[in-house]
Amino acid sequence: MSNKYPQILFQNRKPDRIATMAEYKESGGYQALADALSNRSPAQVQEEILDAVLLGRGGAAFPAGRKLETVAEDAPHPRYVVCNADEMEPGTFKDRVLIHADPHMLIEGMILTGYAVNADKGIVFIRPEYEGAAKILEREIRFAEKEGLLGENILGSGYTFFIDVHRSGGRYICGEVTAQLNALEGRRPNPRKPPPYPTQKGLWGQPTISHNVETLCCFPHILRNGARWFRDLALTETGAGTKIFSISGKVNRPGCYELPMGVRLSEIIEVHAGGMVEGSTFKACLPGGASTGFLTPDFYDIEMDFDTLRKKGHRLGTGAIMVFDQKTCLTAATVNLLEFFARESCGWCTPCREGLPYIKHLLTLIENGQGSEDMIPTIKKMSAQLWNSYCAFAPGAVAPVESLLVYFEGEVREHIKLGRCLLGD
Amino acid sequence: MPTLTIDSRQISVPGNTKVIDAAERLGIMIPRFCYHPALGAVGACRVCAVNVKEGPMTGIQMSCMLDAGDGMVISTHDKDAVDFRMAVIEWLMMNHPHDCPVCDEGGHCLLQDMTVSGGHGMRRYPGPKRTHQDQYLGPLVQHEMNRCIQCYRCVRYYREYTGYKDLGVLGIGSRVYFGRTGDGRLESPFAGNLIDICPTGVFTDKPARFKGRKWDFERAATVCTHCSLGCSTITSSRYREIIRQEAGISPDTNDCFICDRGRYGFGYANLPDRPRQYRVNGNPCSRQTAWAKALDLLDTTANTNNPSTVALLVSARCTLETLVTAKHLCHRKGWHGPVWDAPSGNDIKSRNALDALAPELVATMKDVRESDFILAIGTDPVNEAPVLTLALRQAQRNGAHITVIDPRPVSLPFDFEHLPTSPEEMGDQLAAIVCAALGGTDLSHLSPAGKAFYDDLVLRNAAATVPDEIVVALKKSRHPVIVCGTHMVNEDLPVLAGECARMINQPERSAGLFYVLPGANGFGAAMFTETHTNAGLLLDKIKSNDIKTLIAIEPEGCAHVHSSPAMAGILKSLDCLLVMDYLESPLSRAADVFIPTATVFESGGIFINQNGTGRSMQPLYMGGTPIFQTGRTGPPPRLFESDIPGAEHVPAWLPLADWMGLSLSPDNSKRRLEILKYTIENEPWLSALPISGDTGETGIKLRIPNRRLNEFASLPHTRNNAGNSNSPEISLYTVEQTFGTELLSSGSPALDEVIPQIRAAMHPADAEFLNLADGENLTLVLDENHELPCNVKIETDMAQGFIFIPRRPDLPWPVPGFAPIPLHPDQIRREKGDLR
Repeated sequence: MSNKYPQILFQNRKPDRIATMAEYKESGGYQALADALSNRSPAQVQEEILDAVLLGRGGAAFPAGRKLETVAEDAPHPRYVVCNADEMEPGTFKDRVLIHADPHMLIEGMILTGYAVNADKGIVFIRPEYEGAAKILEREIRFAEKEGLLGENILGSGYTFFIDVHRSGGRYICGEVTAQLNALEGRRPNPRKPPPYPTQKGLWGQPTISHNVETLCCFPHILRNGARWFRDLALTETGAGTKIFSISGKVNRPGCYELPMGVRLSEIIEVHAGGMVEGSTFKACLPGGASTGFLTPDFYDIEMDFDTLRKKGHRLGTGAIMVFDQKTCLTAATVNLLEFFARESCGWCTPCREGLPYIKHLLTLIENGQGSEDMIPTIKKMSAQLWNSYCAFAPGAVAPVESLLVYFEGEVREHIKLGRCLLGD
Repeated sequence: MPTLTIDSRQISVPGNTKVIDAAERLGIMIPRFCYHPALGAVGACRVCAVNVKEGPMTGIQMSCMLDAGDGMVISTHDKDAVDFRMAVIEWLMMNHPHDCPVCDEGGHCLLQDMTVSGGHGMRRYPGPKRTHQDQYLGPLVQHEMNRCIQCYRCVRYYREYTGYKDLGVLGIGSRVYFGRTGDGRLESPFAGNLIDICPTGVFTDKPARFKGRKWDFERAATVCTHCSLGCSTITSSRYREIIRQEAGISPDTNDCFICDRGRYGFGYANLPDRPRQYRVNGNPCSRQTAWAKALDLLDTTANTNNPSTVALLVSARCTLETLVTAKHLCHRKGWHGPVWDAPSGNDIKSRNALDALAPELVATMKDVRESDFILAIGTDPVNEAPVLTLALRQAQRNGAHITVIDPRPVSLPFDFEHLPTSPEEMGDQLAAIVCAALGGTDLSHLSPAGKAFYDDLVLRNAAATVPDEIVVALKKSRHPVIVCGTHMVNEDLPVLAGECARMINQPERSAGLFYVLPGANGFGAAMFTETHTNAGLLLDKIKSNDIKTLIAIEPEGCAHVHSSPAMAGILKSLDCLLVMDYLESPLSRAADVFIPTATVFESGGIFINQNGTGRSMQPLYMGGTPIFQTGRTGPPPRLFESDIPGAEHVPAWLPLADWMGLSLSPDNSKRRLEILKYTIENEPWLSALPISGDTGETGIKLRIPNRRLNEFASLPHTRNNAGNSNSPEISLYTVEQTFGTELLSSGSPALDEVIPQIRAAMHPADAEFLNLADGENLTLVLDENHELPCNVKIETDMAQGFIFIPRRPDLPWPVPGFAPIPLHPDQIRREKGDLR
């Protein structure tokens, strides 16, 4: 492996099995928890996280420290910590790898988050397909409880925190924070419109902190090594920490790689993913899962961090890079993504429920060579209108469509002119 | 009071007003589908988009989700907003059928209006439409799922507003389906409201299907006459037939919803065999003949006998005009009455209730909805006054604590505390709760009578124990309401309930009092009938030959239970029986002279609901006027005789006014106002009613004069359970049921299918004692002539020592007014071939 960078989240990753609690402890695990419980106040924990500029790794990149601060000190109890392990963004598979690599890192991260906001209970909301990971977590949670690291009076500190594992019903929308809370309450997983924000009134109306698996995994390391150390891990000024990239598509070594925030896309593809497969050249990639826009060869050298991409009008999302080569029809790829989104819409608001199938149908006609010129402005206008949906689902779903029509409009029009797909079989 | 600008016009609105409502105040109607005043804003349909030019968040925003803020500048007709709304309509029409001409909602359809006004005239979407299978939802509501635009109003209403769970959302994405998990009748007795709130044709009125478009109908705002709540309704008729009813909007009573009894109970007015012919001695005759015969008989009686041998019987289904005219006629002629024909004892209990109804305590349904503690005593809301259930549910949703003290197996679609208690002990429980809650309160301001009343409460308190949480909830409460029934209670309970409400009404706690009365005009009947008599006493007088002539005007209890030989015997001793009604009954068939009367839909009239609100109802159509026809190009109605057919039946007050010598105009609409004027002018406390008859949407609040003001009643202790506890007897009570017991609606064919079979509810301990199992057939031997076959229903949540059966008008009941019957175990006969 040619990874020259420090491995933080993956330090105990093994090719054939998960890391045991002993191995995790040996690598410094649970030190941060012991230290925080005896030497730091919850406010100090919050400050350290804020200082580390840890941005939410689930795709929205909201500063984790800021989220912690929004739970008022006198907020009612019980308070909840929800770990979002409902990893359903197409192309993303980092959370599963993380749990299979080092489950206690997640458990410690959840306890620390709980301590930071004085929460009473943690819930891992996990995708039902991740049954293996759920079983691992359930087992390791019991081990942690036996060791006094979890449960009543953790390490004699007086702080009590429990963790439950909850399997999702299995819908993409359940990954949306507010929809996830509805799902946990046994309701339809329709998103809720803030205010109130979940940190004020979340699960069953109680203050609730929701974080992605990867975000939570960063907590122990930040608290053990300091905010400055964490920020310095990144290659760019604006970035902080490492990022786990899940790479798929036409590369030689698809997989999960922990790399510093701000590493260049070209380096990820050429060095870490082993370059493009024989006979393929880079045509485009989705940088952060299916709800981000295409990066064209113009962005081949871009520094992969949240800020840089945002400035260029893109999103790092979950860091799931899907690489397409010159033999792939991006219209067909987009239709494929849209099919997923149109199917997974919760059906609550009109634009998302009806607009996505509408656009999908038009784009399918185009891909099949049955399109007409007037469909392109219709799709463009409708994609823009989908931004007025109830939640962020539809804007994410049209991101690939919008960028397709920005960077590859010529290719789309070609379908209409020729009455067939140039790259199709 | 934020001030904002909408379409260049400024308006100040109270805080927490949504932009959509602020615009409505300016007369700007922003399109909406999912938004509904009773259900709130959820932002699902996105059709109420506006462009916020200045404000905390600019750009396209949903006006239903946006609080009006100071200094906001909003455009509803900006291009972006209009374009977006057009897009929403196009999306909604992607899958909606283009078959308005065959859809029953057509002409009455919000989606149709929005599609037309939004300018979406041509279909652009080239794809296929998704289709669904419809479900059978029972005889009242038709389901056509393909028309759905997924506004979620139905499930929000059904599950959140009413609390029933058998209708829901299934699936996700564009395949969401609103229905049940399988075919089957909707369980909620409020399911008909789905028809009103559905903005398109997914839920339509099944009995009214294909009977006309909105513009074919003669429509009028009406008052529901199927219980004492007086809900607002809108009635549509065509060709002198009532086609359908919808809920009217009345914030003080029903808000926006009615029950299915009210919605479908009108069928009695349409019955082909409704008596529309005058009859003398059972033979059809002309109006002139019948009137002459009636006058002749009355004259003879008055001349040969004493005028006090003539008695007049009225009921709570009579209009205020009829009741007042009847009262004045009796006074002028020296006749006996008017006597209120109410179910046994309900008349005196209602009078007691009105005595205790202090003006400062009167609670409306709105007060119930907004209350934080409700103690319902002696009432079964779903069955006696269905829409009250919805008011209780809204209070419960807002966190109110709800307790029901009643011997019946009361079931409500939400969490509440039920104390199954016998009528004898209900008063003690009420006293215990109030007493415990008042403990520690300074009562020094009370008058001597108040103190005496409190001491009385303390005495009663010792007789009962009540759960602590009820007391705690009442202590914490700021707006408690006591709801009290007038059927399953002792005579003194309404007074006790009223005085308890007065007791807990303190500076820091404003209490309300809400009575459930019998019948649509129970309030009016209690006010205008003779106090020291009742139907039972009247029958005694007939038996003893003190009454020789009976005039029954739209009677209720007597009319429908006289099939017994005893009753027939009583009637035989009359010289003359004169019946005026729009329903056929054993009594009307036995009449010497029968005068067909007009229903409220034909005569109009005023009804006073249980809290004293007078609401008038305009006639929808009248006999003797030309039939309303759609369009003006059709031929005029052809007349073959001087009278237009259908003019025979008259409002019940008309013959009465005639006998009294009032000269009324021959014109229907004129004399309606004349009798109204007479009514209002001759009863001073009705003077708040307008003589135009227009009481408006909310009605006129009437307050009874000469009530005891701030003075407590001293209550006789009527407890009488000595010996009862050891007796093996079981009391057989008839009780109201949502469907099948109320007189008018039980004659409605649309409701035939939803009327449940007669089941005898009993406590498991009683069933065990009688060796009966749930579902078993049995016969109740009421007396030597009357047997009642029914079916056992074991209810765990009811008082012991009772059997409850629905009070069907056609029950063979041997006792007048459905009075309870004590049954000895020998009178309860298990049928052979039972389930075991």
